[in-house]
Order: sequence, then structure tokens, then C-alpha cells
Amino acid sequence: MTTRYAAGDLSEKQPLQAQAAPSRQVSDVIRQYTCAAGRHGFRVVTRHARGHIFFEGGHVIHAEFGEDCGLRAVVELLRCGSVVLQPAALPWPNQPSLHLGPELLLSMTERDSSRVVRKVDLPVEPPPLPMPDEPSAMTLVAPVHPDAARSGPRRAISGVMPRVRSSEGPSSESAPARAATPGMEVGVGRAQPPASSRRTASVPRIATVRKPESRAVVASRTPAGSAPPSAPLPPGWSGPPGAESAPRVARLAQPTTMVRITNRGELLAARGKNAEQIAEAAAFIHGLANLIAADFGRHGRANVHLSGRGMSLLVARSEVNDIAAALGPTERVASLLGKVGLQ
Amino acid sequence: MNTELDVLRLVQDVDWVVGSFVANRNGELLAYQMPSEFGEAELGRTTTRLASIVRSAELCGVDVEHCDFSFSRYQLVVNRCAAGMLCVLVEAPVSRPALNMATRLALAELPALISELEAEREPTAVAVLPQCELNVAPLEWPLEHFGITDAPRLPRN
Repeated sequence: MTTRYAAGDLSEKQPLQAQAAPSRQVSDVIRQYTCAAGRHGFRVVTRHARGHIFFEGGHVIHAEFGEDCGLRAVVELLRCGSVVLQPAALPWPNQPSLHLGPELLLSMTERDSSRVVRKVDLPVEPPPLPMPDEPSAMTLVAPVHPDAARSGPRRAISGVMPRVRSSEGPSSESAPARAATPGMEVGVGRAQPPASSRRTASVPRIATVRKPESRAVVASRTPAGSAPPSAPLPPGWSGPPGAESAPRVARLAQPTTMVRITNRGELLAARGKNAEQIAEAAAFIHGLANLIAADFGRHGRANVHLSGRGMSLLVARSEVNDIAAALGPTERVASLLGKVGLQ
Repeated sequence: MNTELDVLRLVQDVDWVVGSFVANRNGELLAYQMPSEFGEAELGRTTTRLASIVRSAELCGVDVEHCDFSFSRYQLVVNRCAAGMLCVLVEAPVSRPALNMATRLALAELPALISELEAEREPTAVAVLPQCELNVAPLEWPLEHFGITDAPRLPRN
């Protein structure tokens, strides 16, 4: 198997021929091309994912691997062990996504890299699930996540949310604001506005809900069009097993679109198709979600997850305080939900 | 007990549920069972915004059936059906399986409930003027003002 330069403006350069073995460590490739001038690009093939890595002037300037891009892709490539190098199938990247030197890349241990990446990149997404018709899928019990290979005990989380049973009553100071069903005042009629001003700067409105009072009210508003006569199955209820296998396979084949925008809606980074449309929707949804949160007395981070028919749109505030959005199959986005408190 | 109370009580009985409310497909608030701190105006704005969010997601290719909002330790869980949506405000320690089951039961009753609520709503006086007889004489066209004197005049009754 031979290697060649990535497509692009490289025809005048001399390729490094046949230096890539059929199966090599990515770290060896990086060390080798640290000393090589010019531009070099490779397609990287592993059992679970495909990707590309591009070198220029001895530096790794861009990498893609699975659903990852940039530094995260390099880290995943370094983790995955032996890879097969093939001629690059992508054009030369328009702009570099990596600015770290090869020594720093190679010095990244598993622990260090995860710490760095969490600060600078989008959350990691699991590799695509195996297709039902793949032979290897029969031997897998669950999709293999790169982080799942890490050994070590799981960290127990305790004491984060003090739980108070409803029988303890609402008088406890540490009890969260909750409308208990017993003693709830219910009635049908016009809603009465709350007697007191509810919102203060220091006390969240929801946290001040202490009284076990609640109302069931039929809102009297302007009439609207007639409702559709019937409803589909509730969410999560599906037909017989296997009935959705073909659409599921088609869904999983779709790439995930991920964008990052500023709080003002300016596009910072994008990957996937229809990225601009997703960015606009993310800015709009994030703004409305913040307004909804403010109406509920919760100012600050508001994360949104919309899903249906196996597709998901996630809009969340990222760790670097910009807005990240992901659109793709729900199975792929699921790993992100726990990180933003939506699972 | 009314039907809306039955449906909303289904989810209210789950631990850590703060309250719930129902809106039609257009995002108009129909019924709610919420603590008194949450006014009808805020809930109405919320359902309208929820409808806008759902529409924008549908433009991106997501046929929204379920929607989760996370506000620190509180979450607003929205389930849609063809007739409308059921919104449940919960706290983070809520049992998701129990909430899902209660929500499914409520969603099964939701289309009938929304149809009933929309049928009960009284019509409001919007752009319906009384049919009164206009006995006002037609105004003459002030053509003289423009120097036109031989133009035909409108007939007087």
C-alpha cells in the first residue's frame, strides 16, 4: 500500500512513497512526518471508524476521525492503536484546525488529553453504531465507546441533590420547592394572578414555591382552529420489534451536524450539512429557551433537546460559554445529553 | 372531577413533579395545574414560545415528539401529539421511568381533552360588527373643490 499527497496544490512536491506499512501506529506516523517537509495527507482506516490526517511542514494541521475533528480526532487516533493508511480521499483543508506541535500531540496521555480536549473542543460523540447487517455487529453487545475502554471504578456521586420525601412536608428549609398533591387546591375557572410579586433578583422564583397549593384551571382564551381528530402513538411507543430497522439504518448513516455559535448567533465552527440553517435555528431556540427559563424564574443556562422519529436537535451552552448545537440521530447525540443535564 | 383534572393529576402524582399544563397545537394555553406562583400570562407565553421552537426544529428536519428543557435543577418536559402538547415541570430527582409512564397515560387522553377544551371555549368578540342599517346619506363628491362643475352627481335617496 502506498501513500500519496492529499489532493490539492501538491503536484510539484515529492511524495513519500511506500513508507506506510499496512498497519501502523499513528504516533509513529506523526513522528515520521515531523521530519518531512511539504504537505502530506492520509486516509486513516480502523475497524470502527475512518478519518484523515494532514501534515504540513512537520506539523499536524488537520485531522478528522469518525465524528471528531481537530484535536479530538488526533487524540482518538492516538488511542486507537494500529491503523491502516491509505491515500487521502479529501481535498486539502481550507484552514488548519490544529496548531499544536507534534511533541505536544505525542505527549498527550489518555488522561491529559481528555482534560485538554474538554476545554477546547465539542463534547465527544460515540462512533456510529454497528449496522445490523454487519457481521461484526453480531458479536457486539453494545456500541463501543472510546472512553468505555478505560478501566477503573466508577465514581459515585452522592449528596448533590438533597431529596426530601413528600411526607416530610414543605416546611423543611432544605426541601426543594415542590407542589405536593395533598392539600392542593383545585378548581375550574379563570386563573387569578399571583397576589405578590414573584420575582426577585436574589431568590429564584421556583425556589420560593413553598405552599402546597396548585390550581387546575381551564384557560379562557381566543378560539383557535379545530384540533386534529386523532393522535399518533405516544413518544417512545413503537411498532413491533424490527419494524423500524430499515429507517434506523438509514438514520444512522446520516452524519451529525454540529455547530458552535456565539451568544449573538455568529458562527464559530461548523461541521456537516445545513450547518447555517442549524446555526440559525440554534440561535433562535437558545434565545427562546432563555426567555422560557426567565419566565420560570431561572436565569442562566437553558439547554434544549428536541427529538422525534429517531432524530434529535440539541442546543446547549458549551463549557467555553458559547452555544453548541448538534443535529443527528438520537443514538449519536445521546452521549451529549448527560453532559448537559438532559438525561 | 373534570377530565382535565384527571389528565393533569396523572402526572402530578409522580414524585418531584411541580406542575403541568396543556396547550393546543398552535401553542395556546388550554389548561394548567401549577403552583400559584406561576401565572397564566407566563404560561401562555411559554406555550407560544414552545410552539415556535418546535416549528423551527421542524424546519431543520426534526419531527418533534419530545422536548426537554433544562434550567439548572428544573426541567420542563414537553410531549407532543397531533392535537397539542403536554408540558410537565419537574425537578431533577424525578423518576424518569415513572414520569414517562404517567406521561404516556396522559397523552392517550390528551386529544380528547384538547378537543373538549377547545369546544368549551367561548367565542370572543373579534371583528364581528353588528349588522346595523346605515341611513347615512352618501357624501357628494367635492368635485367643485377641484374646479369640476359639470360632472354627474351621485343620486340622493
